[in-house]
Amino acid sequence: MACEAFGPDLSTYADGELEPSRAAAVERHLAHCPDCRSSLRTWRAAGESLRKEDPTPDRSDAFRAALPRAAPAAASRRRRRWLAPVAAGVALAAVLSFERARAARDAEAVVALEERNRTETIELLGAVESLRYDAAALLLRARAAEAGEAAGLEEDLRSLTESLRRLEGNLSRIRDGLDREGLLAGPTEAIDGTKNR
Amino acid sequence: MDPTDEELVRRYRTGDASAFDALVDRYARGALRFAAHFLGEAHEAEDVAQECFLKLFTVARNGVYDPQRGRFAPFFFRMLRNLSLDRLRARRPSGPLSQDPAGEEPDGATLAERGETCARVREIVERLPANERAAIALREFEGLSYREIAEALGASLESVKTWIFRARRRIERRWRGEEEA
Repeated sequence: MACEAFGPDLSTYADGELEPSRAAAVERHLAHCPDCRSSLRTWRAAGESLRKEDPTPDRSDAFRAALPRAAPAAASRRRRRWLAPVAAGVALAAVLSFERARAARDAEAVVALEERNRTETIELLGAVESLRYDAAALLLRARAAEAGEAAGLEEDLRSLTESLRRLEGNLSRIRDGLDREGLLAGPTEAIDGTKNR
Repeated sequence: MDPTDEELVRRYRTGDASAFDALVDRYARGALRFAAHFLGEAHEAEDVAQECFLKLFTVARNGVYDPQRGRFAPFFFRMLRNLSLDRLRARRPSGPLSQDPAGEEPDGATLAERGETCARVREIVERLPANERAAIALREFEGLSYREIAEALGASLESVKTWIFRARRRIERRWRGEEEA
């Protein structure tokens, strides 16, 4: 068994985490202490044994299959921020169905999961509101620029219009779904003045 | 060369959905192994690991984890440890999380001198106190540095050094049949 005085440093030394001056002291001690050398060998062998025949199964397929399939956040938050709520909408729909399945298995989790759904919904609706401000700002810029930078602006506007159209459709489906689930309680009023519930 | 974990998070956040799958592939076994060590129950460990990936899905998307502020592994295992703790608290709300189990140990030579060690060492590790078990698992299986283990377990660097040393001493003693009851 390692010497009491050197044990902690010997363990840190075994992991290569001991500062050089103390490591040198440990090495000097090891040179004439068979007990500490034996402990060091034993600890290293134990670590190797643990890693060598690890019985943990690889469940990555099951983990991936249970995750919501969603496009990640926008490719560039600065230039194409309107994609984020679209992606979030897709993710939300998938999360809802996944979490409904989980809730069926675990009744206690229902409240927490619904609260999480609700939080995601509020985040999504906040992002939509932000998008609308962005759109208004872009339109104002376009009007101010008039003919000078028209080509770039037109492209931006076309892209934005298309994204908005998709977003409206996506949002409408989400609202319908949330209404059916009874998860939405009013935050859309701040966006377009209409109440869902 | 394989992309780093941090690079995968960055790719995921900039539009590459497959990067998230790669992270799941990379951490699936580690998550299950750590949760199993922490909880001591395989089925529950799978639930917690699954929950952790679901949470990761949200936090990676929302930017809660910033690759510029540190390595992904300690962040991930801290999240997993917190979820495991929640599960333990729900299981035994008023009991201590860490017990030091004792039992009859066979006599034995050093690990280096014995052949059939793997299952026996695993069995000994499974009976370590929770903090020591978590620290030695993160070190031996996941290869985290002491500082990263401290971050993952929400502990000081000195605590991590002590836990790992005590875990090794206990493993050695139990193997030799010297462990106190």
